[in-house]
Amino acid sequence: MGAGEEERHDNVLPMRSPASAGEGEAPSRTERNERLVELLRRSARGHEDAFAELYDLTSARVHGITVRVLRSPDHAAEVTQEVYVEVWRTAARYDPARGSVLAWMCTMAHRRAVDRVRSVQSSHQREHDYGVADQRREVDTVWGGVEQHLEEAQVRRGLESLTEIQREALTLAFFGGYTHREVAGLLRLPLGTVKTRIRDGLIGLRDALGVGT
Amino acid sequence: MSHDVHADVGAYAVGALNASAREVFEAHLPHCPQCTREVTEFAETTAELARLTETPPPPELRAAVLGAVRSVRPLPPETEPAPATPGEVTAPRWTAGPVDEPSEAEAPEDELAARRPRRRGRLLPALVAAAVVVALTLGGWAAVLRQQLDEAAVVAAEESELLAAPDLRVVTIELPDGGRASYALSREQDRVMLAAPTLPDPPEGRAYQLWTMQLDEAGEPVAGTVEPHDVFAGGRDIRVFFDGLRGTDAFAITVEDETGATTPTMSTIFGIAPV
Repeated sequence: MGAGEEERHDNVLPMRSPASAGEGEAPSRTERNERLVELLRRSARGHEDAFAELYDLTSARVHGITVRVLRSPDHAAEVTQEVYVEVWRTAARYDPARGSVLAWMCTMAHRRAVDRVRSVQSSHQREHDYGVADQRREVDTVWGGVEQHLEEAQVRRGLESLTEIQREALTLAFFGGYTHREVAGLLRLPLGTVKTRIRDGLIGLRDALGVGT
Repeated sequence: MSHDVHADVGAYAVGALNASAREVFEAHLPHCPQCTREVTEFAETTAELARLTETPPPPELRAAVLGAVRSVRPLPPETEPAPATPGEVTAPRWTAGPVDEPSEAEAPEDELAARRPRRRGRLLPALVAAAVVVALTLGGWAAVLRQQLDEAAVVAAEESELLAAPDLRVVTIELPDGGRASYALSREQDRVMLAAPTLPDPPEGRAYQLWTMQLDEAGEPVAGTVEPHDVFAGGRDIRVFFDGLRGTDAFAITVEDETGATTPTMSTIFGIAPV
């Protein structure tokens, strides 16, 4: 803290302080990110203890993404490990101006998971194996999870504010790892509509979470 | 066309673009402050969304990760040039100096080229705009092209016209040094572009030369159909355009005297591509 505080303050995405979401004592998103930035900077200089702490603070979020997209615990563990090795390797290249550490890591995790699932998928024709019933289950499972995370009032509220189509399109793309074409096929909607719904869903969620500018 | 690219921002942010569309969008991104801002905000959004699926990894993964990084050296910070402003032409990232365009400036018009009013080989900065156009119309081919053309910047209308041709075909060839190049051709436009990320310099006093020909049943060039085309030097980011595809079954590249030859000496022939 101290010397770097002002600089960091500029780099952190502003957060709307929600009146009703502060039930827990959890540190704010901004505070958490400051800590992660610090740990990442020390990791870049080779401090393994800082990296271990970074791992402890973020691994559930990161691993959750790879598990969700890949559905195979073994593949997910592999990809999660790859992500952390990449985080360690490129820590010095993280640019705070382009978002929070957690967003940077989650994006990396999601991309790797999706790339993996698609390379596997091409041989398995996942699209055909995965019927409408499964698709429903996909949506239900994820939304069922909302109940278990009641403390994440903001996220929940944001989700509730979306239309069903926006929610489904967003879910299938982000958690299901489907391409926009596949999502269009699954939802029987034109591609352009799916793109719009995904973007609208993200905008709605962004505004509800106060992570916009 | 850029309108369509903007529309991909949401799909990009949730990883829903396929590889070629993703590449196109990422080429677009540095030129579009609005998409850049949305991508940043959407990344925060999806990171929050991922709260819903938080899952602690298996305990043994921690030791595995910490063990794995011990043998990995963290990279130093990037010493980046100033970011491009929107709309500005950027040179390929790996091009250290200015993009060199020596072949036209230095080489005197050789008589071969003088006889044939064809456009000489040119070195162009690569082609973001074109790649965008191409990807939108061609899907898969765009990925191939973009890979070959590397980082793209801007392209004259003629080139993007070729790359946007509805009948565009791309044929990939292997170079003697193991590198790759490709011919992009449109019969409708009667035009071909040879694109090579790198091409080693030929020996002193020699140059590459392109040929077109017809092939017989056995795949051998038919006598009298082998036509000389452009002469060009080695270098990076090579683009050679030429017209006149009629009756052509194949292309080839030889190494000739730098003034060009009227029949190939076949000293070194490579890049034969039936089309």
